[in-house]
Amino acid sequence: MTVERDEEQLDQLLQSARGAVRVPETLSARVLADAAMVQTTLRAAPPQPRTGLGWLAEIRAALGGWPGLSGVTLAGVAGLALGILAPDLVDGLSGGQIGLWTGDLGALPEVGLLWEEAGDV
Amino acid sequence: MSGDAPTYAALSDGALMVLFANGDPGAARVLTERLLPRALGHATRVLGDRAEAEDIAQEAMLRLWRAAADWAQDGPAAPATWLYRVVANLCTDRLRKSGQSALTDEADRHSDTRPGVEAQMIAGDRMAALDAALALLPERQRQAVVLRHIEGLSNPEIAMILDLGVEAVESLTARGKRALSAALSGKKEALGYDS
Repeated sequence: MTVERDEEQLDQLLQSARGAVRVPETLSARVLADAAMVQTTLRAAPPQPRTGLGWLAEIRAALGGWPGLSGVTLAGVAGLALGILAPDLVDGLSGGQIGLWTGDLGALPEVGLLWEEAGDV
Repeated sequence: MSGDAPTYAALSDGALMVLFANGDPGAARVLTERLLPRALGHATRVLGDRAEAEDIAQEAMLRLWRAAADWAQDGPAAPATWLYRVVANLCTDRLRKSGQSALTDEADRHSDTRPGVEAQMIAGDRMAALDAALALLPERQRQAVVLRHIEGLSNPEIAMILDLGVEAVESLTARGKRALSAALSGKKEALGYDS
């Protein structure tokens, strides 16, 4: 019974220790100042970059969005996209001429090479 | 703002974290009132040094503010549990840097000029006697006992804070409490208890 009483009294002592720590005003003030600083940083954080279709979305945006794309421009952009993204298809449609003139540069040929004066698509 | 007080009181700590991240001016005050005493209490009892405990409590709260931007309200840990873990780790780091595990090693006890357990008890200062007894425990036992028996956390919460299994926590708290009892036993009169 003595052991149980000792344990009970220890429990009481531990219980009375709860909430016994007083927080000084100076500490609270420092913590709140840190909070204000962090909130200021959060407000000043730059906006997240737009996510979309990548470079095609950027071209579209540069041309003023869909309304800015005339039929001819749209065809040109689409053709450029097709040539870069699906060169084999385009090469096939050209009867193999593009591959011949560009030396089979692969899936992502340099755009400028398509416009060499020596080649005529 | 008195009209707003009941609104804040009804919110969980996690909800307040989200409000804080969205710029709410009152959320930080309420979170500070709720959580800072717990961080300070834990650090004070583990370190045995009030000034260092205040540094750690402030650092832990700063990390909490920074974590608010990415806080998931339905995440695995409540803000209090997360904060306790930061405090526990900072305390461990501080004690390791100073080369201390128990604040009072067995070998130093005889040469320690601070009032020991018995002296504190004779002075009738029960809280100081408890702190002196806690200082005798190895660091992990001390953390576990403080979190379990003073901060009132559950064993699973303590396991998350100390990165231990629940059984390891139970073992630490049991051994720590036995060690406390041994340090305080036989001093009931000084503690103001009936024999």
